[in-house]
Amino acid sequence: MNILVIVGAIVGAALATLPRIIERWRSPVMRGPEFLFDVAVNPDFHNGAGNDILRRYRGRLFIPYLLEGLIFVALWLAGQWTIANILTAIAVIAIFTRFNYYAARIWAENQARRFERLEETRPASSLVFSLEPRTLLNYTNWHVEGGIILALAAAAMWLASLNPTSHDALMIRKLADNLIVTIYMQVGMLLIKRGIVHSGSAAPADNPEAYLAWRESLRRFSIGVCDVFRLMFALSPIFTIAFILGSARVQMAATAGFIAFMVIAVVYEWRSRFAYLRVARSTKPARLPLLPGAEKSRGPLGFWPALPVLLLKTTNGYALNLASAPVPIAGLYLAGFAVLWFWLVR
Amino acid sequence: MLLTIDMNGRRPIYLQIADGIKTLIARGQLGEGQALPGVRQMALDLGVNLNTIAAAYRELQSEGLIVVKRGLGARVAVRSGAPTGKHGGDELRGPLRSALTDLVLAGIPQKQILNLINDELRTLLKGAKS
Repeated sequence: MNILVIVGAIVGAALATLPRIIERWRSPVMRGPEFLFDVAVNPDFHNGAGNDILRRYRGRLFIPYLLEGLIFVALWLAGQWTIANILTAIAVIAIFTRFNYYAARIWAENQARRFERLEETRPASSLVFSLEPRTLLNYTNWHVEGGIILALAAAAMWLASLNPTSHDALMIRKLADNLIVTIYMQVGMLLIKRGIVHSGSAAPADNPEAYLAWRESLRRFSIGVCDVFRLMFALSPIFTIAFILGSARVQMAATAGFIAFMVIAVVYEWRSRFAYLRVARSTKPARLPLLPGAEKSRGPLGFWPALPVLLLKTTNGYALNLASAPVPIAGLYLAGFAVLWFWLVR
Repeated sequence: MLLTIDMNGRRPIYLQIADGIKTLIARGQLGEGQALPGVRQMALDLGVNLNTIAAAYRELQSEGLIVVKRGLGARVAVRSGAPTGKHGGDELRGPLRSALTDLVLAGIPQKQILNLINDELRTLLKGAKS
């Protein structure tokens, strides 16, 4: 394994993580001292209880990075220091980091709600929504789609051109398996992208344009990041094949290509994240009315067949609606993944 | 193109949505053939039951204002000069008569009623196609 690639992966992941840490560090107070996230508080709140809540929230943010370090050390010690393992670890930690952030945020908001300004707690009674249809097609970047198809097709053609008698047949089989899993993961990530496109977007009637602009900015930013991840995963089979089976020159070119991709991806993420934050900072948070089922919700799970939403805002956080359409789709997808995995290792 | 819904209002949400879309069509802000969001998107945006949005679209469809095609979504219908859908010309007089009766029973003089109608018509037709 080329040490430059490993360093590139880790440095790239660290650089990509940095703006997210800054954002999550600042996001509770990004709208000034009168807010903690979306909870309206008195400005002196941050000198008292708010200070402790903020400190504990920020401490929780570093749990995934600690875990990430431990995983990398474990991979190194176990001799499993491969590009596939590193990318998988980065992907798993990225998902965990997101959940950890939401958990820390919900905890902080619930703590802050005890000090909430009462005049700001009334939810909006009138909602405004857009009549513009949102389809996956409207949010498709054909350069990205072309890149994904090209990367996967190139990897497939490279594998097809290999002669099993002159190469390690088991290695070819493993690389083909990797390609199949990557294609399946592309389907999963496309479903996630579709979910982002269709995520709900209503605004309070007092300031609808700014609020909807913020929602759209968040949607475009999330889709952009999702596309970067899709491209990264689509490129991973061709890079893996090049690193394992390529000549010294091909390995060098693949290394340069991998580092270049990581740099472009990191710069793109930084730029789009800060552009989104500029919009978010200037948007006053709003309390939207709770839905009928959400008022009675006790835990993080619920079953509301009448409502299409996946995540329901409840009185103390969010609850996953097990009756919404994405839940069975995700279940089927994961079951398919298990079957595929079983078939490949058989 | 934005639509406002009063979640605590006495008027059912599906009728508010249907009325809102009707007004936008009358003003010409929603043009013939223009696509409307799918039932799922609108239900997700407002956090309401899918049937609520489906009822609003059924209402608009029955009045011939939109066309819903399976798999293609809803679009604003192409209108001919004569009234279409369940309301023929005579049927349109019903709601008008009912609204006028309310105004007369409220004791509003005829001249003021005419002014009210003119004002509303002017607002409605502002920006509409001639």
